[in-house]
Amino acid sequence: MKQEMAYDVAGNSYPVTDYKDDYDGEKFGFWIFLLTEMMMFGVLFLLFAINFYRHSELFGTSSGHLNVWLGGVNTVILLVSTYTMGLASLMMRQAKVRASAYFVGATVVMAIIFLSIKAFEWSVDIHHGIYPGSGILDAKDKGEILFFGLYFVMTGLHGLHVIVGIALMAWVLLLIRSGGIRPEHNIVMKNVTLYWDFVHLIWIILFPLFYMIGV
Amino acid sequence: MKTAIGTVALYTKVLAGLLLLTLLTFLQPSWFHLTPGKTAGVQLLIAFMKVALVVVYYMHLRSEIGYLKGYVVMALVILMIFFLIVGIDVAHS
Repeated sequence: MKQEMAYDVAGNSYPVTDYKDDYDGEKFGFWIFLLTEMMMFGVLFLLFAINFYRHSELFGTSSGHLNVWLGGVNTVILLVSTYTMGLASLMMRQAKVRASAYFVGATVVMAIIFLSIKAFEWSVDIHHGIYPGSGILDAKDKGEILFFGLYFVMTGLHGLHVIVGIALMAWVLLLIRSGGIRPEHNIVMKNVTLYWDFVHLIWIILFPLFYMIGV
Repeated sequence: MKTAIGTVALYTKVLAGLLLLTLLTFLQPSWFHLTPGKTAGVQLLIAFMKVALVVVYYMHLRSEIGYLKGYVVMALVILMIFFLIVGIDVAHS
């Protein structure tokens, strides 16, 4: 039987004796997970598209009620945080472990700021009686009810992913400290970086759909 | 296996591109006053450019092995089929 070969992070081949430390396999598995996530969000985007097609004017009006500046600041924060997380991964591969940890820490701080701004936005909406099931929202037109329903579900699900991302990055920091992640063994960090890129990708599409169509 | 090693310079150039496209996202409605439907179309076009930059350079899909690229394309095609079938259904209902 032909010997199965795996590859380390530098691209050197070695014989597979078990399924530990299989860099390609672990990365591939994580990509599959991300694709299932893409399907989940994809269906929500499809739901948005259907209702936008049916109530485009009301979706535009409802979008105008959202704070585009807060959404915009969050867009820039998430964008820069993707950059810092990418640099963290790059620094680890270049054996600059301390710099890598700093960049992960900076990403965590930006993720927390993102969530805080989002929480503030939600609290303002809720204060004005705009939340799924509220009497004020239920009294509005169907298009507006659908817009805000989708807004809370989709940004809420995205926010949940941000919270998971913060937890994962905190775990990465612990692993760096304990030596569980090191330059020659960094697949966990690579996958968490992929996850954070994915969280950013979702926001790239969410932002214009919810905030910009009514500007 | 191809190993994707980015550089700080490349990452920074991509960041600059993403920031530029984000600026375009903000400026588009003041440059062209369009209906919500057309605005969404233009905005999504810019968003997809940003998505492509992130996927290609930050997620290193460009330098990944062929079968991984194939899986990503397959997932996108399945999603597009969902959109197409439901879109036709909604348009005729």
